[in-house]
Order: sequence, then C-alpha cells, then structure tokens
Amino acid sequence: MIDEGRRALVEAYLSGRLSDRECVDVERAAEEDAELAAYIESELSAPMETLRQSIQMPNLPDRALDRIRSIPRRRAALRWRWVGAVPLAAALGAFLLIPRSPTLRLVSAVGQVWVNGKQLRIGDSMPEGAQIICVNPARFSFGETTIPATSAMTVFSFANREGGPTFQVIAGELVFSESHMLASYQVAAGDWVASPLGTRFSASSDGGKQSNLSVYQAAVRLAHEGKTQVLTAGQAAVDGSPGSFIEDDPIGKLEEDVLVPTVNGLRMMSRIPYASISPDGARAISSALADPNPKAVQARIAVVLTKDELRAAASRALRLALVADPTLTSLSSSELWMLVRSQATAIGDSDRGDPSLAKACLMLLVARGEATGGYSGAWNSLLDLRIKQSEGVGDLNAPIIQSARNLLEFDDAADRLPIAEALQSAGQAPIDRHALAQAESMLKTLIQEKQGSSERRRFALLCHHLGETIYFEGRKRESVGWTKLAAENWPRPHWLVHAGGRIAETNSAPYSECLKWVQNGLRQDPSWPSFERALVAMDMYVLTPPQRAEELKFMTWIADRFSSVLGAQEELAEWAANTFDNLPLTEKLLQRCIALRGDVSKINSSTLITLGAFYHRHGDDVRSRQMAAPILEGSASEALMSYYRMIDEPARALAVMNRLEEKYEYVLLDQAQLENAIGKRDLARTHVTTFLGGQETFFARHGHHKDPLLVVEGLLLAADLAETDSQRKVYANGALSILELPSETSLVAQKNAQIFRAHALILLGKKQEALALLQELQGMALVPDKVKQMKELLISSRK
Amino acid sequence: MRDIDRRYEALWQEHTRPVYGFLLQFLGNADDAEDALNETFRRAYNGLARFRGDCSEKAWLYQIATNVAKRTKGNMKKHNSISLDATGEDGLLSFEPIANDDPMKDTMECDQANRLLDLLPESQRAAVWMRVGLQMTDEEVARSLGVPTGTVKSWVWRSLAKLRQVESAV
Repeated sequence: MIDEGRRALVEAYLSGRLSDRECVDVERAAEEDAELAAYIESELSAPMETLRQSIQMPNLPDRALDRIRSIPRRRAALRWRWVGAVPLAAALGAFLLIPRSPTLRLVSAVGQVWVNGKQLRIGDSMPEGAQIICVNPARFSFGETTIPATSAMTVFSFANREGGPTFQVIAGELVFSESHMLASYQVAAGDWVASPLGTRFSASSDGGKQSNLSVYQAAVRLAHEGKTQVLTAGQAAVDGSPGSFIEDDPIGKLEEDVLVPTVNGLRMMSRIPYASISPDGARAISSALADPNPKAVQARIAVVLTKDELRAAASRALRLALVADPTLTSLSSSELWMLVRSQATAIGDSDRGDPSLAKACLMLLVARGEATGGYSGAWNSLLDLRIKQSEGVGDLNAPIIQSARNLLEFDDAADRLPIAEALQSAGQAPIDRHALAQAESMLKTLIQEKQGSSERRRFALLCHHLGETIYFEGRKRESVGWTKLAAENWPRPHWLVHAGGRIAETNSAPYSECLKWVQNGLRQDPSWPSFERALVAMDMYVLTPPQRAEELKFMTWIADRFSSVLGAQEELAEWAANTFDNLPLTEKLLQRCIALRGDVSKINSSTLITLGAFYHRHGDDVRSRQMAAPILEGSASEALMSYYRMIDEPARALAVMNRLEEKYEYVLLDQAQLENAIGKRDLARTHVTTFLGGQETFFARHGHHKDPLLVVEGLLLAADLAETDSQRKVYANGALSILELPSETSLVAQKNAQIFRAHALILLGKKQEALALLQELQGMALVPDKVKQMKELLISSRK
Repeated sequence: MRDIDRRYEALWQEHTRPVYGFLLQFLGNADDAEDALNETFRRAYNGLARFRGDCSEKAWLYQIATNVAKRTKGNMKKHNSISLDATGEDGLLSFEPIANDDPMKDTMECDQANRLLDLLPESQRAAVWMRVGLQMTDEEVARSLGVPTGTVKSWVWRSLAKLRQVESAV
C-alpha cells in the first residue's frame, strides 16, 4: 500500500515538479521498493498505451526485404566457390592480393532492367562489360554505394578497367551517392573520366551529343584531355569542361521523403516513384530489345519512346540508333516522319526534342525520295530555324511563326501539332495575338479529333498546349481547365505542380485543391523547379502571419535541400529579403551564393539589386553599394534603374531610364511615377495620360485589360496628379470600376488590390470606408507597411 | 537448409520490419535506415554461429542494430560538419543547415506522442521505442543499448511522465 507521502512524491515526479537530483532519488527508491515501482508503472500505463498506439511500424519496400533475405544465399555461393577452388588456392592467394571490387546488383526497378536481351530480377548481378538498359528509374547497389538510374531510359555499362571498376554512361543519368567509401570506382561518359572523393554526383549523357557531370556534395576529380581538375559542390562540367552550375539535386529522385504543404501544415511524405514510360511503352521496348538485328534495337526504341511522347528520351535513343546504323534502314518512312515531327517539337525544358535529329531524319527521307518539293523545303526551313534557336541565335520568333504558317499550306493533319506548338511557343514572348489565336483554333480542332481516342498522352499534350496558348492570350482562368485536363490525362509530375501553380495564380479554386495537385507533383518529382513552383503557389494563399511563418519553414527546408544549387540559393536569397524581410536568413543565403559563385560580383544581377535594396532598407548603405557595384559599373540597364528606384533615388532612376536603348512595355507608367516623385508633375501627367491612352486602345480592341492592376495604378496616379476635382473623380471611379470586375489574379493579389481600392476611396473623399478597409487589411501578412502608412496618413488628415 | 540458415530465416521473418522501424526512428531517413538494416542483418548472419545465447536473440540483434545506427549517425555527422570556411585542398564544400532544428520536429503534423518521441535525445528515444513500441523488457533494452537497466527505466519513466503532463495539460 502506497502511503500518502509517497503518493504525493510520485505525483510530483510524474508532473515534472522535481529537480533532476530529486528524480534520481525517486528512481533509486523505486529500484529497492517493488511496490513503489509498480505504482509508478501503473500511473504511467495510460501514456504508455497512448504512445504504443501512436507508434506505427513503417512499411519496408519489398526490394529491401529481398535484399536482406538474400544475404545467406550470397554467402553460400561464396563458400561454394571457396570449396571448389582449393586446388587453385595458390593462384587465388595471389588474386586476393589485388583489391577486389564489389558486385553491381539490381536493388529495385520502377520499370525493367535488361542485359543481353534478358530481363533482370531484383538481386541479380550485372555481367561485366555488357550494356545495361533501364526502362524507367532503377537502383543498383555497389558495395555500400547506391546508384540510382533516374532517367526514363538509361543505358550504361560496368567493367573493370585500368584505374578500377568503371561505369560508362552511354545515355541517360546515373546518380552516385557515396558516403562510406568502401569501394573505389570511376565514372566515364563522352571522353572524360570522373573519380569520386567521398561525394554525391551525377553523370549523364544524351547518347553522344553531350555529356554532363554535376556535383551535389563534396568533390569529384575530373580527368579530360590529359588534365585533372577537382569539381566541388554546385559545379558542373559539360563534355568534360567545367564552368557551369548544377540545376537540380536529384538525390531524392527515387526514395527520399519530401516535405509538402498540406491544409493542416507541412508534412513529411514518402516519395512516389514515377514511371515516365507507360506500361504499353515498356512492353513495346521489351519487344524491341528482342529484335534479332542489334543495329535496329535503338531505332525501334526511339519509335516507341516517340509514341509515348517522351521526346528527350527518344532523342537519346535516336542518337544511339544513328551511330549503329546511319541510314536507319529498319525504320519505315512513316516512322521517320513521326521522328521528324516529334523531334522538331520542344514542349519545354524538361522534355524537348532535338531539331538537328529531326533534320537528320528529314535528310534520310529526302535520300529515300520520300520528301520532295515545297513540302520538304518548308520543313527544312522550320527545322533550320529551330536548330538556330536551340543554339541561342537571336530572336527568331517572327520567322518561326512565318515558317509554321508556310507549312500549313500543305494540308496534312498529321503535321499540325508541331505547327501549333511552333505558333504557340513563338507567339508567347513577345505576345503575338494572331499567332496565338491561330494556335488555339488548330489545337481545338485537333482536340475534337482526338477526344475519345486511346492516345491519352497525345490528347493530354494538346490540352496542355491549349492551356498555355489561352493563358498567354490573357484568359488565365479559362486556361486552368485545359491545364488540369492535361495533367489528369497524363499526370506528369511537373504538369501537376504547374496546374497547382496556375490554380493559385488565378485563385480559381480553394487552397486545398491547389495543394492536391502540388503534393502529387512534388512527391513524384521533388526537384528544385517543382519546389520553386510549389513555394510560389503557397505564397499566393498566404494572408496571415501564421501562414507566413509556415511558408518560411517550407522555404528554409527547400534552401537546405538544394544548398548546392546556385539558382535555388540566389532565388531564395531574394525571397528571404523581399517576402520575409529576414536579415540573418538573407545573409546566410548570400554567403552560400558567394561560396558557390566564388565572388559576389558573379551573382545574378536580379539577386544583387534585390539584396542591394534590402540592405539599404536596413540602413546598411555600405553593403548595399557592395551588392550593386557590379551593376553600377556597367552601362544603363533596367537592373540599374530598378536599383535606384528601390533605394528611393528617383532622379537617378529617371536618368538611367532615359539612357535605356530598348524601352520595356510599361516604361511610360514607371516614368510618370518617377517624374511625380521628383516633383515634375506636368511631365508625369503627360506620360501617365499617354500610358492610359494605350491601355484604352488595347481594351477597345480585345475587350479586356492586359494587366488590370497596372491600369489601376496608372489611373490612381492620374487621379493624384489631376488638376480638378472632377478629373480626379473620373480617374478614381475608373480605378474602382476595374477593381469591381471579376479578378483572375491570386488571392493575395486580390487582397493587395484592396489597398488600391482604399486609395481610390480616399481620393473620392470616402474616408470612413477607406479606413474600415485598411483596418481589415492591417492584420494580414501582405504589405503591412503600405497599409500602415496609408492608415496613419488618413487618420492624421482627419485630425 | 542448414541450421544457421533456418535461424537466420526465423530472425528475418520476425524482426526485419521492427528493426527497420527502430533504425528509421534512430536515423531519421529511409535511405540510411535501409542501408543500416542491410548491414545489421549481414552482421547478424556472420555472427549467428558465434552467438552463445547469454541474452535473448532479440536483444542481441538490437545491440547490433544500435551499433550500426550509431556508426551510420557518426558518418552522417562527419559528412555534414564541413563548414563553409572549410573549403580545403581537395575542394570539399558543404553547408551548415539553415533551419535551426530538424523541420520535421516543428512542422510535421503529428500527435503529441510522436512529437514527444521526436524531441527526445537519441539514446532515450531508442530506449522508449524498444521498450514501448517493441515491448522489450528493461533488461533487453539495457543489453541492446549497452547501458544499466536503471538508466533505461529512468529514461522510459521520464519520457512517459512528460507525455502524461502534456495529456493532462490538454
């Protein structure tokens, strides 16, 4: 029986009221007093049960189970070899003096892995020197090193060479994640060789044209043309020449958990493997691999991948096919035409075709007599332009549009997707409304033809292009439906995140729906571009300080995950400065950017001006000038103008603006604002009126404003500058009427628009209404300074 | 099937998932947990013939798992501890994390019990996981972690007391 005194002592112990020393005394007493120990245990039984129920055994992937189960079998095989090898003991003794390399084994596969025409099973080892073909991502073990093959199709070989075991990347990407360093090895692609120095890096090749080495952590020794160099985290080499920076860290591409935003907060969720190649495509590749003619295999695979709409993977296979058989005799003319159309079409950075391969196929068709006259010439001219464009030669949008229209004269329905795509992509920047309208009409016709067809990926692709076309035509909310339809029919991870982003941008659905798209995309493609889009989408729903705090946690996690991706660090340094106004975080990210670039002057100019303005706001003008120095040294630029503007030096900003050789679209509004800031009200009035005249013409022609909020800004400036009350009211009412229209902007932009509304109400003398609006906005995590300033101004004017 | 293989098969059948759970809890990421699991069972297979049975097989297996996990954790720390200033001759470069804490601790939506577990120091967390989650005895846990039984009892009681305090506060 526990007496009252001991009961009270236990209660004090359990409720955390005792010091450490006193706790130890209670525990010692319990060691000697079984009754006391049992009493404590009984008091703790409820929390123990709660904890027990909350502990869930995680799921262990089957391949991991198989890997462990196979340990004895592997050992048994080794023992058998020893027994059988007794007569050869002496020779083996000498052999054992040579460091032995571990075996390369297949650990897991989202799709299939083939070697010498045979499909491998989990646990199988790779024969030395053979070509290994992974259809969809796979993972290998090599000693304690895990090697994921992350691309849709990866081709590589593994052999013992001088210098040690060597992985030869032929096409696709292999990621080397090494922390234990039990095995030494080297990796080769193109004509370079890389040796890890305890590191994480990836090697990729597109089948002959270009090979890349990207270092994500620590360092890699790179040997190329007799020279050896060390590449550190963040650096990359193209065809053995260092000098570029990595664009993404693919370590999580296969299995690592992903932090995703949910309606109830951030959650760590497991990765969902994504198979780029469809099950039908994988089956077709299996048949292609069984082709008795080895020269035909890659050509057949290129066709299969093209039918699966995987242009980048198809281009890698096509390059290998052209090496094996430069005339591609195994392919029919219609298949060659298919390759021409597909490789001419670049649907985005992540999966673009190669127009030079399209041209190679066209030349084969010409040689076969299957492409003649004007039709062939029109294709030739479009492909030449596309090749130049991919080489970064000037602005070719107008000739590409013209060339696409020339092709339209040949009435062949099969050709229309690449033509529509050319019109859409070339019509986007700068906006060519006629080209976009033509693309829209063509895509709608093609969609009608494809509806109900079994080619879901083709249908999805058409919907995606239509969504993009309508978006750039300015009907943003309408475009979301097509973007979603595309991702529903072909749930490519980056399309899912993109759809989430477009929902956020147009506020066309609640946050919960936006998150569903974003989560699914992120879990399948946890790359930097996906996280960047996800962060932007999340930002568009952030209204309250707790939501902002959550956004900050998400952002810092992303910053750590992509700590060696320069683009990510520069972009996020701007976020830390602009969105979070967080000095220590900005400083840390800036230091990373400097470490990666090697020098502050090499940091991207947009980041430099943002940080320059940020330090100016924080009263550190020395640092501000240091950031802006590389821009100040250069000639007049938009960046320099923006910097002066951001640090409140309108006269200098205006001087730079006047020296700009190429004026940008909304220069008149900026000019008027700057002139107003330095007291040149007459000039400001003239320029803002001209700006508004241009906007009115646009509205008359298209029935909607190009950027309604900029027009509102112009109208409010015009109202501020108005010489009479009646003019002021006309402009202010004009601004209010635009703000009344249904908005296609994000939730945050709509809330920000309320600040303009308050401004207009003040100009109309409706101060009570304005004050109520500002009070409502003040608690939000929007642009609190602006709201606060307006509110204070309003209150002081009432006094 | 040889006796040793039969014993290994039984060990594999019964303990793979719980050991994985323990390693995941200890190491915090699936990739390292999986590698450590593989290493644990490899060592277990090699040592099974020499296991004399002076404790339960379960305690022995978790002793191996704890050692492997500690070694892995040591490697992870070593790997992460290169500071920005430590760009050495071989060009090694990595970054200190920006987030002060593990973001999972602050941001994961989880119940109080799991949150409590996350906040415990490494060894204490391992002890509670074994004692409560795997229902091992104090002696088995002590053996696995290489600490006195009294220490295990103290860790478990104090952790559960904290949970009790949180529950009663709610």
